[in-house]
Amino acid sequence: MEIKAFTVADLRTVLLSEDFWHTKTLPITKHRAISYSQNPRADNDDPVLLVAYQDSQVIGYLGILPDKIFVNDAVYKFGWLTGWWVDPSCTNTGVGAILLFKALNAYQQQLGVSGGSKEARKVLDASQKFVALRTLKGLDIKFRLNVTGAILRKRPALKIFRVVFKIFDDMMDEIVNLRNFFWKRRNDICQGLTFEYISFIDEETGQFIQRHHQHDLTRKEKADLNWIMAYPWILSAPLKDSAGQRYYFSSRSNRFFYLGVKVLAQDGQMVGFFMLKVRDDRMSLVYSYFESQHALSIAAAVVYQALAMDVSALSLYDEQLVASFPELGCPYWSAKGISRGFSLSKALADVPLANYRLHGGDGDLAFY
Amino acid sequence: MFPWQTTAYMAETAISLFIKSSESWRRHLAKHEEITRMLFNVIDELNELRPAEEHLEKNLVAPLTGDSGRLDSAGLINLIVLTEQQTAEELGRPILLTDDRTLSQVKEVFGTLGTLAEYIQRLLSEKRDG
Repeated sequence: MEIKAFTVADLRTVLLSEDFWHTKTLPITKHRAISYSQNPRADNDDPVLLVAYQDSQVIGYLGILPDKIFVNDAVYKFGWLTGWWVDPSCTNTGVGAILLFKALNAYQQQLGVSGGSKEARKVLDASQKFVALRTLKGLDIKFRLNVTGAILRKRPALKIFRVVFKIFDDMMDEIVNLRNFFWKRRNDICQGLTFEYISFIDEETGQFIQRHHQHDLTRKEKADLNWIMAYPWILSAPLKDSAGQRYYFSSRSNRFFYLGVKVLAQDGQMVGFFMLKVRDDRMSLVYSYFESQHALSIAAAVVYQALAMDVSALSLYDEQLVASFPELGCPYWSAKGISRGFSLSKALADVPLANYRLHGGDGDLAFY
Repeated sequence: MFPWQTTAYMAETAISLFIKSSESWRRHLAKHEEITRMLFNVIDELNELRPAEEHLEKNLVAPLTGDSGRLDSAGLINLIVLTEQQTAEELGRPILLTDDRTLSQVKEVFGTLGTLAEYIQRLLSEKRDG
């Protein structure tokens, strides 16, 4: 077994190479490699991908997303673990463990983890190298019933009744539309606020974010959010391409995009900004910045976007917006509490992290 | 110097070397035994974390990793962490099993408990000599 570490600079070379993309299993997709290579927080010599090869075939890989933690005036560089996979036929070779320890060594033991599968958590817990950060608590709001999807996921054999389920869903959707219509008419919860959609962070938004990110753990800036929007890991495409079939993690969805929404007061003053991620029929709020007194209006603005984009579900992780949601009185089928776990390696345990804020897109969560 | 004196001197040197090497061999064996005992304690602890059907044998030649091994990544990490802790506690000297040098020979080091014991012994003697 051989472990190869690819730095940012290596990935740029790899993108031009033919051989790298001819293995049976791909350790990364091209668009993800481009994204890694453009990360504004990464240096050229930062290792960002570790690949385990056996007989020239990929048997495991682990991605690392360089990032920074800001505490007062101090900056700590570290990496988020991402895209960690081991060939199921090689589970007893210890390749997952080797990749993890190699990553820890490459980043002076300074790594972070956002979310993660059950298997990954098991390995991380076993290593005793990580401590849990505050759990991010959020809301998963279902606006539409989607009986078809729910039943067919559990019982694919019932596919023959698909049309019946779809008719039922359509009828329910009409009820939802009607309830939404009356809710919007009854409430002017946005209090005359207007929106401006942006596909990249402009100067005004960049400055607004800078004024509101002082308590953020990773203090994202204009360049960081522009990078996320410009270099997605998931492409909007109708079918799985050949690369997608050879890569374990998601690389495409029928619908995937980011949208920046500036929220403006009547006098044109910017009072909030949030970044949405839409994947198929699900919307997630990945980053949000606003004046506290406008929390309710911003929550309403987010819900308006979800209803206008006809998504079935919305995930929110912003504490103030989550707290404001019940006050909106908007129609929905269910709102369930959800949580996201974040961990940092013990090497960062001495960093005085108090009252920091995490966003729903922190770690690698903005990308999925 | 008379020839008999040379012979006596050579014999004396040989005997002293023999005694020294046998002492060192005895020390080596004693240390190996100590490490093996420590590793068996590690296996006891490890087995407490595993379901009964996945218990590891206290056997120096039973494969740990590889095709016929019983350790997955989480199991291997548990073994590494517990071994590092027990080496410091029981043998009084900390070792590192997650450095790049060890990671580049995982198959050889963690193949069996016997190979792990030999590797730990090598690390400890390097530390002593270094």
